[in-house]
Amino acid sequence: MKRAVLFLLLPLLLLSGCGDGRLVFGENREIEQLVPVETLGVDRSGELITVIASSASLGDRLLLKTPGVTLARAMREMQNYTEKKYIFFGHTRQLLLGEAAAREELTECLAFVERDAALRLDTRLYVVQGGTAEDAMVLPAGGGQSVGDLLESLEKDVTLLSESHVTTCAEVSEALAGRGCALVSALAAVRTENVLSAEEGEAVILLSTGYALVTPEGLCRFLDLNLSRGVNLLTGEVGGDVIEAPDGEGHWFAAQLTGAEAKFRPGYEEGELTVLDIELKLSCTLSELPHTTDLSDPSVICTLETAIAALEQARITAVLDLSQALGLDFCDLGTRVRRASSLRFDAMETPWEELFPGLEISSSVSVNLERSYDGTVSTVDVREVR
Amino acid sequence: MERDGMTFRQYLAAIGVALFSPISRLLPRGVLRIAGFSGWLSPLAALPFLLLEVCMVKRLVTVEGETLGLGEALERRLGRGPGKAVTALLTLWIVFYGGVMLRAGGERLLSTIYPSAHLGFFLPAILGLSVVFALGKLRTAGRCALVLMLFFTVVLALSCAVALPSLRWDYVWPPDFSRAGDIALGALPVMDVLSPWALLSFLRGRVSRDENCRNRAWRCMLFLAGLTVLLLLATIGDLGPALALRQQYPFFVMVKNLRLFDLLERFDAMVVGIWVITDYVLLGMLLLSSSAALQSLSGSRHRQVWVPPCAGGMLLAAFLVARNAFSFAAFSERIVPGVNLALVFVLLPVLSLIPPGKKLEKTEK
Repeated sequence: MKRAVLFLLLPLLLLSGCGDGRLVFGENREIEQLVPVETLGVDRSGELITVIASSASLGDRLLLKTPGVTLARAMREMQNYTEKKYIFFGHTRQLLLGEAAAREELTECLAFVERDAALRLDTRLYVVQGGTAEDAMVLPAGGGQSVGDLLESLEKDVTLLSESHVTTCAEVSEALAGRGCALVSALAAVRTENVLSAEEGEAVILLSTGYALVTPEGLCRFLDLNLSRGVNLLTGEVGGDVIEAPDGEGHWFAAQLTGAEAKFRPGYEEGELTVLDIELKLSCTLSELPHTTDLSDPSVICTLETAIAALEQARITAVLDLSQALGLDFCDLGTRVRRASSLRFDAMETPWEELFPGLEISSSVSVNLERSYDGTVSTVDVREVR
Repeated sequence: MERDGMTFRQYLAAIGVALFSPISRLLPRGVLRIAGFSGWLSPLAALPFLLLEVCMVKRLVTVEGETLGLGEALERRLGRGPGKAVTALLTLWIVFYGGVMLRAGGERLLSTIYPSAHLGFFLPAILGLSVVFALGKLRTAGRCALVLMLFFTVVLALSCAVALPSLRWDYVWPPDFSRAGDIALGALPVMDVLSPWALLSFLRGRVSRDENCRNRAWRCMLFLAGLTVLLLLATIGDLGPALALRQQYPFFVMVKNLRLFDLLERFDAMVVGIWVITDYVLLGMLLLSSSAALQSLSGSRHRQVWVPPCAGGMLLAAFLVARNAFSFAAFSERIVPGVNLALVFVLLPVLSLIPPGKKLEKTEK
């Protein structure tokens, strides 16, 4: 029996990974032979797709560009342009779609990510507004950092500035299948003179341009930064956005958003949703205002709060109007309304998608200006000290 | 007879490990298709049926206060001829089901981590190790099962825990109770996946007696249902219901996406790789059960001699069952569940209702 068992265990030797591995696994490779791709770009030009891969392993930056009719073929084609190395897509962190590719190739790209053995669904997805993925990957790469690093810092920046929210391929695929639309972070490669340390006086940087609204048919339209911030207010992704508003005394003040909480109050009549009331509560801290402003006066605080509320009210009204006009619930209000009273929502005869475009939606914004981190003394206090 | 070769606790642990394989492979898609995103509640809906199945199997294999293997119990209840006929049919099904599970295990490895490898290697390799499992002593298999049960519970719990930060609760909560009927119907795929443990009852006569066996079995089913809920919550909550439904192996896709605080990623190959052990145990247990059934049919002294023929049958079935992965997926999601459910909801209740001894007396007269 022992001999039989040993005989049966012999095939395990084949699993050791030694040799060229062709017998069992076909493609085992040493880690030194791998070129891990961190960012993948896809562009479309006519019938052809162009794939751009960026790798920055061990300080060696590599940008490869290959055309093809399909993504799979174009990616495989890259193998021809590396020396004795294997291009490994298993650690790809970001996928950039040029505007043309996003219009025509979005669902195909997502389906490819779903099906591919190496790529992962938690890959961050971006759309390049008014340009190609190549623009966004080639031009800023000359600045020293890899595109992957730039996109990672952009991801943190857009959250901080409430300009958009970076979504993964899984989230976009799920939203497209579930509610027929999704928001993808949009960016642009911009030549700017704002980076003063740039050698030639001008640098190319990646800037967020808000959201790209996509549907299963492809890119629908872009939402500018104002609308994108409105979306973030409704979804609660406010980061640390700074709001500028007039203080009513001829000056401007600035407040930093510290929180946004949207409450959804659906109204049902005879089992059908007839009205939706959205109450948005914002928390802010004062960042900048003239010293002459007396903050101990409640009416002053009230004036500032009203100014912020008016500004943000306009933003979310614009977002809601656009969403209803397009008939696309890109803020995922349906989920939030359902959460408010799931039994009633699930029992509705008319599906949410049909109700949403004609639904009566009212919204209100209230602001709580809580504190300022320093320099909180009022003008009265200053006079007393003198 | 290998009586006292395996304790009842070890027997339940082996069943648990064996079921990890179909649970992770089939269940997420199965419940999503019927119950939607609230399908994670379906294992709870299946729980009463699972507990009832425990009672039915216990009643079936207990004859005059004695616990027998399913083959002997069937002969005592139905008479020698019909009992042997039913045993033969069930054995055929076990061998075929084993073939399907073997093919499923091989296909899963190819689809998830070894796209360039060949079924021609994986099927004999997986089966070879299962044959080793089945040829060994029951006591050894039992001890292995206890360790593996603990190990896989920890792996599953850790995978779900790592998924927790990226979980989107709005994908799963609150459940859609307006589809309560669908959630209840979702119990069918759960039963399809969990119920085949009854096929392992041919071994029951070789498991040491346990006065508390029904309670232990109930606790085991409760535990498995709980783990299943956890797995479904993590999978649906991470991918989303629509996306998970589109995947062939949603649980493993979820594992592929796992990332531990940007420190560790791509440990999917490791999880998928070690998950093949559950295939070994499932196939090993099916080989043990089918060889025990054939031993009782033939009256031979040694069970082990029947292991190679059963393994050969499984290998043949695995190769011939479908032309490619697409037709195999359709086959394993339609035909196999139908037979499994018929076994649980039709054959098992009928057999357990037949009083023991009467048919045998008639046959003897």
